[in-house]
Amino acid sequence: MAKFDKDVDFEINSDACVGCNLCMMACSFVKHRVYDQSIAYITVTKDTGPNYRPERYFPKFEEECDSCGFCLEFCYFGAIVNKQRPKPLPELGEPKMSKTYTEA
Amino acid sequence: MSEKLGAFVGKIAFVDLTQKTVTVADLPREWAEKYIGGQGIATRLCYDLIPDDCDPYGPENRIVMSAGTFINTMVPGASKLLLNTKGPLNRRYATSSSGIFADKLKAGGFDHVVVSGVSDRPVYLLIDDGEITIHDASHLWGLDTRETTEALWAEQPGGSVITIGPAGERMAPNAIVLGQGHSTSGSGGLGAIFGSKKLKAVVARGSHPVHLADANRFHGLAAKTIKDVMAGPYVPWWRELGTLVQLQEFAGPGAVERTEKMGLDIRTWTDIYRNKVKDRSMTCPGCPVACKQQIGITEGDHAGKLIPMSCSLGTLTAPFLTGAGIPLDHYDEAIICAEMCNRLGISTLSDAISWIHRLYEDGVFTKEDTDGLDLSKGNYKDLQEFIRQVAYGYGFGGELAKPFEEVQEAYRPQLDRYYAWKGHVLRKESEAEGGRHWGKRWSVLFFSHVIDPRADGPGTAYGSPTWMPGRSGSSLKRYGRAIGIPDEEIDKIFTGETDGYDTGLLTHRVELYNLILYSLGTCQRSFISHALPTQRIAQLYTYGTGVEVTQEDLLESAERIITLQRMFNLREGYTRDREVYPAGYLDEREERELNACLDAYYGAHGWDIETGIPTDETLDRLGISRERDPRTFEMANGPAVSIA
Repeated sequence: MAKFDKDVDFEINSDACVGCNLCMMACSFVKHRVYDQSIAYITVTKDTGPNYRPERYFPKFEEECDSCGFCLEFCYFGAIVNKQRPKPLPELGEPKMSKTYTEA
Repeated sequence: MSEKLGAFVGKIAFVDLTQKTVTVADLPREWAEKYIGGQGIATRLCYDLIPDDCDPYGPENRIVMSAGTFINTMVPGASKLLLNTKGPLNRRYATSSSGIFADKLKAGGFDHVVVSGVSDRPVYLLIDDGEITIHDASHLWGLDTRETTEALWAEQPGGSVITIGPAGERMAPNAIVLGQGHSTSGSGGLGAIFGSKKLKAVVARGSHPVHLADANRFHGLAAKTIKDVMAGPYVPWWRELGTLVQLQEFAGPGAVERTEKMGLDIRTWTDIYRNKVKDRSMTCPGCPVACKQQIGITEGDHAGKLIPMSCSLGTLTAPFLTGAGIPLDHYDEAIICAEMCNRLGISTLSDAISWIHRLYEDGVFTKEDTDGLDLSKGNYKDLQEFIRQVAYGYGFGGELAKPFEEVQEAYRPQLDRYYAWKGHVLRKESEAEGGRHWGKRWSVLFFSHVIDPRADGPGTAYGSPTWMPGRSGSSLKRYGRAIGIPDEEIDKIFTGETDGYDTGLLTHRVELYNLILYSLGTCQRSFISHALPTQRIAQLYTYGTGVEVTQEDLLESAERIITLQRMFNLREGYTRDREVYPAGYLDEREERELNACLDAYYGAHGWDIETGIPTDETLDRLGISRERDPRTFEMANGPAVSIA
């Protein structure tokens, strides 16, 4: 059941993609209950061609994508964006001296 | 419980570079149950297959490439490649991790690939959807890591590449392996072992899926773990600064002062880094944080250069802006030094490159020794020539690219005042002045340098919040509970005061927790590990593999792994008497305190306190034998297929 129209609601911002691949894994899980990037309906290719600019990635929705929006949940870089409800990126706050083991 | 293991591929390949053959075996279920995966199973393979008397550079030594249990799942940061071998510097168990390549190794159809033998010519391995082939690498021999990576990207599209540079080719003992042009497997001298086998590179690709025993529950918990990671208050800073975070004011009391003492104005450097150096964030597969950086030089002679780098603190800042003292108005030259090391495939942290300036400043080496190189702090031009010498093995730098014991022997008596230790150099006076330790004298960090079983020297230690002193008693206890320390032990280990803990006992626990992470293939950085307490890991492991485990089971497996690493090193003569510092290096009080830590640490592991050798009782409890398991050898020597 499609919740969105990817051509209208979604935007891909290649420049923000860092190639974490979580979107592909999420897609394969929601569609096939397996982690398998090769059968995901979104693909992320790394630019390795001649004169490549290091560390460039190109996410792309494939034909089979039914715009379920599951991948959006796992993009923390703003590479896949829901235009109606963009997810804020992590912002630098004013860090305090760490008190728990969780930081730094 | 399904019979087939979830999460694992279930295959191990044994490649013989002398015979040019490959044997593929099924991963024994018993190993998954007893050794967790990745690091654990690699330890079993090394223990059973690497002979005690073998030359690290000889055909009988093995390289074990491992992808942990959670690789290619959505557990955040599950991307670590583990390379294991017998190390060239001091013949101990060597292991090095990096964030790249394990995803493709596993997608290529294997949990582990074990390489033995020595090729008669330069080769690279291609792991491709369950098949392994050997390819001629004559055209790559002599190229640097970036050139090799680009050539192999073109030759084998879609492949992930790990490679050595010229330093590895000539078996410099601190040579590194570099993944995808930036991700360093820096410790343990793995690059030298690749070189000794004439193995220039390994390329992996494929589309092997990861099936899970209970996919829905596994994914639900993995997704929650991602959210917990991203809720960490320092995640944006890790993304912004990478490992430089550890030098910021908020990292803990004294962090900035320590850096200033080392001669670096961290506030100015942080400003430069953020505003002039950082081009974009980079990440390891499966990590939503992105703590690696692509550096873009924007001004000066090197303007326009783009350089990917995995550790802004370890690779760039520590050796060149502090150790080598390159002034901040030439920060771009420090970046070039780091890039040279990566491209030539040499370690920056545990090599002559890291200590030459101290010895030159002490006046033990002069221009006469260095063939005219001026290696005073800040002279980046001569340093860059020195780096080339170390990597290519010529001139003065080439003379120094050896275990420090050998360097000392060659330069007596002028180096007599230094202490050679595990292949590295220690100098009493300067370390006492600053830098030898901070906070507690024997913190977990500095005690780990003494007992860590992995081959590298003074820098080796598993991560824990105790790296930064000033931790409150309650936060330490919280950490203790998260890593599975039972209640009855908590009060024994932690006093409740700031930095109040028993070092020997806590180090034992820190090792066990980190070995679990290494075996799963997850990152150990705090922003990931805080969301992975042992209870949660046990649930994920059960849902993923179908093997029901508790956190106590995982901790027992970790105990088994470290005990096996210990026994690997015992074969090379590493008993308690080899784990102290060289005579005269410590004062009496330090020595006494260290001995108390060792007693507690050995006792906690169930190793004999006098010798450090695991007792029969401990081995029985863990179900391991002093002998090699002959079944591993049979597995490795099953029907082989020619892959020439």
